[in-house]
Amino acid sequence: MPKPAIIRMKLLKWNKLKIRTQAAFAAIAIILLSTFVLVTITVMAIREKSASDIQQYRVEEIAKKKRGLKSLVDIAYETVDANYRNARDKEFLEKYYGVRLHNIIDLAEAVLKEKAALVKEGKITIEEAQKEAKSSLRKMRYDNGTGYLWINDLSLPATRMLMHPIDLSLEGPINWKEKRWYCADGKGRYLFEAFIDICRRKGEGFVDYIWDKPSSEGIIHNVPKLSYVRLFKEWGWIIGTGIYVDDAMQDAMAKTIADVKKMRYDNGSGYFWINDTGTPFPKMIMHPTIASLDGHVLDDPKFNCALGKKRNLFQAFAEVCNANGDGYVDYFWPKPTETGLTAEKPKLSYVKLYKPLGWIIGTGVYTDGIDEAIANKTASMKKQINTLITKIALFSALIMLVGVVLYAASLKTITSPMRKLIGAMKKVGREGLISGKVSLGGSAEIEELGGIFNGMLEAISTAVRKLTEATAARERIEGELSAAREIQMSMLPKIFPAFPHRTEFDIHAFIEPAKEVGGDFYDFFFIDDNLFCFVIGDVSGKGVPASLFMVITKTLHKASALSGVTPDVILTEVNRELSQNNKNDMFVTMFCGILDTRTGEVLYANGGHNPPLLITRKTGEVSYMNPEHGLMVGAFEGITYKRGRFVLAPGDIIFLYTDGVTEAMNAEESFFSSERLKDVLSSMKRNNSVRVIVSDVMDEVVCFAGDATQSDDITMMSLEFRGNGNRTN
Amino acid sequence: MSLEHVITEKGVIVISLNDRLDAISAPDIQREIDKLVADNHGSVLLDCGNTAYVSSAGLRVFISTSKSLKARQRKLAFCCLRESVLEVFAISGFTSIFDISCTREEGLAKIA
Repeated sequence: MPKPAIIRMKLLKWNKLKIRTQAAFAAIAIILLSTFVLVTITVMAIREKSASDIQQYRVEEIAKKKRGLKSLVDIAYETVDANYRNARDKEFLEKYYGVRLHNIIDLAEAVLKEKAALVKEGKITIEEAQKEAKSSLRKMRYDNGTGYLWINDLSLPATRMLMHPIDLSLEGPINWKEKRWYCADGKGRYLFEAFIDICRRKGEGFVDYIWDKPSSEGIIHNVPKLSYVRLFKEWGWIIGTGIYVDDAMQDAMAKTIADVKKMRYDNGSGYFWINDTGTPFPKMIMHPTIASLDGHVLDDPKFNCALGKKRNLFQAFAEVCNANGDGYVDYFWPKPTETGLTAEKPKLSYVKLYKPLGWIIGTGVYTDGIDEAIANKTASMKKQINTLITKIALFSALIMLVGVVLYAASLKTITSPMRKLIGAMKKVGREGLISGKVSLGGSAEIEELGGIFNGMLEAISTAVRKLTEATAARERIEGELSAAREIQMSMLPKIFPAFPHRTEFDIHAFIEPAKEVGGDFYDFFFIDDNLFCFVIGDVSGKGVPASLFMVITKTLHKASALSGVTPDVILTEVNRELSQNNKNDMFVTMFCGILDTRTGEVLYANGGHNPPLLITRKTGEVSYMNPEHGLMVGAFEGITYKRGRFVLAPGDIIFLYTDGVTEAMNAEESFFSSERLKDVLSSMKRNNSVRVIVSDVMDEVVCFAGDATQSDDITMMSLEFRGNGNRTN
Repeated sequence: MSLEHVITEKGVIVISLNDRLDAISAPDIQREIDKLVADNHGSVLLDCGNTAYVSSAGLRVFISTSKSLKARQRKLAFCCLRESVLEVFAISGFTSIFDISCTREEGLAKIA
């Protein structure tokens, strides 16, 4: 694992740096960091603000341009509209044509007057006069032969056409039932009624109606026409002439186009064009700067400059106009420069549809100025940011410089008291506590540190003194306790073989006390030559109370047993003594048996102790005995114990133990257990001596417990009955 | 630490013991039980259903409780003993002096 090791080394190095170096590094790091953060935040804020300003600027500029374009187009639109309305207006037409028609009628009337005068003078008859007059007027033409005059009378409804120079078939009574005559005043009025009506009322006047127009390409139907009629009273004639007013319209439109063509704004660079809404491609009606387009269908691919250069510009115009009546279109268009028409620049146009004519009137403006202004603004923002960064960097450098100077100046005042303190501490390390206190001084922290150091020295001295005293006291107690333990242990029979001269049985016992004084005990002794008493016990609890209780129990037991009573009586007596005034509810579990060494008969009583094991050498069988279970001894007053009995065959061994064996714990806190005890005994060699049995079990327990601390006394006793003179090995 | 307990309609204090009754937990448990015995008037049924281990210190708690209840003419009984604890009870002879039932209901019926 080389990597963590390296990291650790680096950490160590950093940790080992002197405080002042660390502080210097930390200060520089903080200044650099705050500078960086400050610059970042400021730059970001400026950028954000500028971006939104620029966006705002663009929006406003475009809006301004749009408003401008719209108001300009509105002017051109009004011009077109005014001219168009005028061309449609009867009064205008009358004014427009009136003088001319008036003059023509005057001319015709003069002929009639002249003839009528001749009649008055009697030079010619009225018939001759009228005939000559008709003939004269029949020949009259104007407007390159298209203009003519006619004469009709005042009869209704069958008005008589007296003379018509173009359509001779009309001469005579008018077939008034024909539909075509109902075309006057825009309301389907009978045409001659209209003529006669205005002549009777005013003597002359204009009548507008719809008529067929002869032209070089044939007859054009339903052309608006305006006629001027005048009554010649003497003869009851109406003389009239008319003109087709589309001429007037064409004149008016030609005038409109000329007007719009001349309109300029922005020092002559702004202009208006007019195109129609023809499909698939509109036609240019008028373009003031590119005259070659006029009258041409605008399908040239070079016009594909709208909507990201995909769409024909004029189709785009027609589209927005058809949809909304007007609108804006962005596109690219050659911009006139000083060297001529060269550079394509972004342009914005406003177009508006003049519905009556199907004309789209438009004007555009180049928007490259806005982009240039934005580019300038962006550049100036970048410059501003760079200046700011430079300023902040310089300022930070200055702060750092000042900091270093100040730091160097203050270094001595900070570190010298600390060095003093370090010296004092070193001295304590070298010479011990007696070296004494440090003198205080330096900055507040150093003084505080010095104070704490002095306090610590004092506290350590006190603690050391107390510890010394406490250790002495504990050593005294421990000495006393260990003396008590030795006395306690010395009360148990410890010499084995205990009865080398007795061949009919063998006994071995073992006790391994836990660290503190405990409560286990065992005992054995002869009551008489043949009766051998053995007992094993375990006092609840630990420590001095348990050990005292154990001593009392052992003493009471022996006294009672030696009086010659059976085990049940022994336990009953011991219980009676122990349970009196047993405030702490202490108790002892004990198994007490009396072996008749002649017969192998065992009388026993059990005071709540673990059941013994019976080992049969002959068969190798090992089993837990099922003894009488009496109550533990000492807990309750007035208990009577039962007596039990079993007979040992030669070679039988009873194995007694305390729970220190079965409840010995290993590191995982599991118990040695009674099952394991039985297994250990079962797996032993059959001819093991009582001593080996006990020591082997102990080995197993030690092996099982491992490193775990022994928490309870471990006690074992094994008793073999051999029978008379039947000693094995 | 607080022992779970209920007081039945007939005033029996049913106390559920914790999983280990050893030298470490015994003093606290003794205090809790003493308090419950002092604060109430009924007999005590100790539910050992959760108890896996009882050491001699634990047995002393039972002895002490039994004595203090007996002094007040009240009874102590046990129920729901696990096998490991029942074995300890058998060895120490408790089975001969205490009422031990398989279930709480049985225990309550006996103690009432």
